[in-house]
Amino acid sequence: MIQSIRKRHRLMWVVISIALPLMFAFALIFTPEKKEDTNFSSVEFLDWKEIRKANLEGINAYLAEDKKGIIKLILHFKEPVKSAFATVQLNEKQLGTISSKSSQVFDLPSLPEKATVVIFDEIDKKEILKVEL
Amino acid sequence: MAHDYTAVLWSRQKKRYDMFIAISVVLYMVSFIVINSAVNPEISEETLIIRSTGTLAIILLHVILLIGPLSRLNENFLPLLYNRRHLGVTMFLIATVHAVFSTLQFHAFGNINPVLSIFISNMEYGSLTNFPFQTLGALAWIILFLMAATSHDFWLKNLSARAWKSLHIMVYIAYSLLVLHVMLGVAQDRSTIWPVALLGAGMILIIGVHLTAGFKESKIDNQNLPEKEGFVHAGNVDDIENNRAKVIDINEERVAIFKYDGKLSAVSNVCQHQNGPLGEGRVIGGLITCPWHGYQYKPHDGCSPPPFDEKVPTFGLKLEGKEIYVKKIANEAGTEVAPVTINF
Repeated sequence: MIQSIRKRHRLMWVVISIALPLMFAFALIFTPEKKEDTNFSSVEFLDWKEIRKANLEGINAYLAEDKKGIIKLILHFKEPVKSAFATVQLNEKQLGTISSKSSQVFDLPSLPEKATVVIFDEIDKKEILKVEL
Repeated sequence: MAHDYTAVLWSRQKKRYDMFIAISVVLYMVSFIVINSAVNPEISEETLIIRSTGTLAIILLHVILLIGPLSRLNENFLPLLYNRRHLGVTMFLIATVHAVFSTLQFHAFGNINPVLSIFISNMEYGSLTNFPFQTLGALAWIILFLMAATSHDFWLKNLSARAWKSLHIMVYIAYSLLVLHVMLGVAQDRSTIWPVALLGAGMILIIGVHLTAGFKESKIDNQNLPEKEGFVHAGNVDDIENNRAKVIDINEERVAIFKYDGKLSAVSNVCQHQNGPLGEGRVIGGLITCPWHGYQYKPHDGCSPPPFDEKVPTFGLKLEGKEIYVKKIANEAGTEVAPVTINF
């Protein structure tokens, strides 16, 4: 190699040999452990009172009451919802959209006698999941 | 050493090398897919392709980056260097399959252009857990694309060896981006430690051999050779093996002094093809032969034999007893200098 390329080559490796292991170690040490939520099977850890629950293949759904008496619908997705835009419907009324989080909580005005929860693909206009609580 | 444009100058060695690469790639892909399907039957075909091509590409990149410094440390690795470009293009194609499937899987179902989505769908650059690691992979892919697209000697000749080399040493930036791409990607789903451990071991190995080779190289640059009347003392003639060279540093440029057929000649150490180290090559059939890709030059005038037209600068030489002296100022490329005869 000619001198200028040789110098650039050397400089690159000096920088890489210092910066890359530092960034690697930084990522290794400071990345928080991902919360393992596949065993999420109750709402007890939230200190909420579980009212009803349904465990299906792709989703666990709960109706619970928090300490203030607010009724909650909790959805825990066991696998990603394969839709770019999906909504949550309770008894045909839209509650919100599905985010990238594996667990989502919705406040309800009151405890429904019967709860039919539907995860609806708004692009393909079709049901992805349906849960009866 | 193509005189005219030829897509690939095939030789028996190149065919065997490429066959080995192809068989290894297929074996790895099949083994990865079979084992992972057996261990995790629920895994989708897309995920299997993304993971198998991603892991294979990063393994191949490690192999590619090891070949250069290992060849400087031990010439037994030189045959691997000869066809490294084919391995590089293979790695790029595999990385492209990984990139295309990842883009389709994670960015193709929204109302944003999938390529744009890679860069804007996640803007959490301040977060370690949710860092947009795909952006790092995309930037590395752009560098690898530029390298693969200009890998042919056609581009080497048109861009000049200096510009071409400047572009191609960006592979180290691509490597750094990819280490972080994998590290931060894996860090977001740390169910097992082995990918991080393997990546860390690979990184230490790559940095280790590059620094070792660099340290060996720097010894040449740090020689303080005595000067005398416009000449630099290059050492004793007995220090050079027959048909081999001694490399010295004059004015921060390297000079290779070759000993062959009872004679001495000095030329620039820089091959005109890819700036390979001529002084680490041999004199074969009376011609200096670059160890990287076999480009050849006549020792007394630095010209490639007809029909080729590459030329390297030459240097004047003299012998005082057994001590070699090399002129400090290089002659123009292709200038004939009568070889010094060794009379003892």
